[in-house]
Amino acid sequence: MPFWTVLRGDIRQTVRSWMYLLGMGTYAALGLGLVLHRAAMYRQAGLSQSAAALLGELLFMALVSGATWAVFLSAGAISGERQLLADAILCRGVSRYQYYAGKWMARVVLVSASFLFCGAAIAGIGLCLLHYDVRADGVGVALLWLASVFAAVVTLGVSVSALSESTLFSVVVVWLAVHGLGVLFTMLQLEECNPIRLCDRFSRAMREGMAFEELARSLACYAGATLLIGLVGAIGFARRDI
Amino acid sequence: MEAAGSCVLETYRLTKMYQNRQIALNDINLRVEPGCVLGLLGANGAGKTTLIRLILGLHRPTTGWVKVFGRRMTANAAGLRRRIGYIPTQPRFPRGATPIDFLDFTGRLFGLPREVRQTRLGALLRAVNLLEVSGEPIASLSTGLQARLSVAASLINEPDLLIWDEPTQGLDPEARRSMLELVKALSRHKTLILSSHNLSDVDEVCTHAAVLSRGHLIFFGSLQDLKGRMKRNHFELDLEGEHKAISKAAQTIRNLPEFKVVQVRHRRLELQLTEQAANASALANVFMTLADNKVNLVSIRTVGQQTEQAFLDLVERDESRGFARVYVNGED
Repeated sequence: MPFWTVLRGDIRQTVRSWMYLLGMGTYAALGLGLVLHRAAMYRQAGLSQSAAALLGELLFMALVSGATWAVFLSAGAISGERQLLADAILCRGVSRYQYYAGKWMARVVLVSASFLFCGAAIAGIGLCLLHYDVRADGVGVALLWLASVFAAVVTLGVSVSALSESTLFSVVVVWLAVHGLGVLFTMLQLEECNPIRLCDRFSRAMREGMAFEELARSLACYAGATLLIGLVGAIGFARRDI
Repeated sequence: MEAAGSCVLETYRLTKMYQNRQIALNDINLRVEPGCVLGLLGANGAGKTTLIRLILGLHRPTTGWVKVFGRRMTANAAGLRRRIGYIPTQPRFPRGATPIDFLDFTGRLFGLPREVRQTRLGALLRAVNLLEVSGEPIASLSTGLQARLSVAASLINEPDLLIWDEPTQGLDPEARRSMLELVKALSRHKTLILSSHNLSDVDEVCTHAAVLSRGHLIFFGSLQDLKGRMKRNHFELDLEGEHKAISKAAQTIRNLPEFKVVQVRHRRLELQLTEQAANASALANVFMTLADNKVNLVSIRTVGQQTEQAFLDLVERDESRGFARVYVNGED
């Protein structure tokens, strides 16, 4: 029960936070605006607008801006509660692992689910209004992949947050790490880990469908990174003085 | 040393160093039996809060260990913490929460089922007189009301061991009195550890004391033992009788060799014995003198805070030992 208490409390608290509402509101408004703009060009001017191209752009937009948003949302998950941790939470009947797992799962589920829901809604509207040139399974795969990238970013944020005293420090470290890794993977030409390259590939996959091996490899890569980072954070948090 | 027996709390060679820069606690050996009310005494920075955090598993010992109810306390020992009720020095509460929210949240963290939680929550809010403000945001409550809420939160899991860090700090006299009465009532069924700066509080409610000085345990034992370390040589007697008779008795007492100070003020006789005098025989002479002069004794008491004096004596003695402290563990 303590795990569910932490998870439920954190989801409720995050959903009410201005950072979450601002991020989701902005993403939904921009996505919807872009879809309606393209739909107007398609319907009024008669210019053919590819749903696959639009969804690719939205995916890219979500990845670049959403990563920063996910960093802000996750890097204060535990360090932001530093004042309360010892005196009101961890002195009660909850273990460090339960608390950490509750926070971690809450943020991962919330951020991933928000993007899945928002992305699916925008994709659905786009498919109705634009030239239909995408496969439903391709869209599903693209959104699943996006959620897995965000899960890794959020996990890194929660882990650093669990190990540091200051939220500002966590945000800076995680933001630099996420963008630094992106640059590093691009320079090393690691296809599986380079999110920008994968964006291009997923636009194609939305049109042509996606090979399951490729999907499995990509998901395994991010899931492995997520689990590893999460475990390091949990063990480090359990060894810290609060 | 692994066998913990039936004691509620045991620490063995407990030491805490922060990043090899600060030794917060050094070689603490404690053994708290069930039903004991232990007062943790010490100046600011003596290590009281560090010791409490180690007991709760919030900090990891550098060396040594803490056992609670016979089991080693760790960061993940949630089962042990379910048997502990804790009040921090300055309680903090979730932003925007009401007393009901907070107690419900605390009950959930202890894994209490809904029915049990709701029943205890209502009973505790009533017990600490918070029913009227139970729907108000905690931030809008006074320090005294927040302290009462902390008490309720520390009792929601019906703990066997209560650890209260400075529970009377910032309370008005009435609230402080209520808190001390509550401690007395709880001490009949539970084991308590109270950290306090206020030595009169400790004197009133504790059965045992642990005195920390700069991270070192310089005394651990019963409060009577702590008081027994102080030489009682200063008394005040409230008297009843004619003023002339009292003055005459005082004059007689002044001539006794055991007394170095004898003063009468408004039918109150203040006596201070010499260092060598045995207080029982000296006081026997006083009583006889009073009886001879037909003066009645209303009350007699030792002057000054005995516990405070004993505490100060201990700290002073520990300071004066110098390097010899290395070879003397705790009290001598």
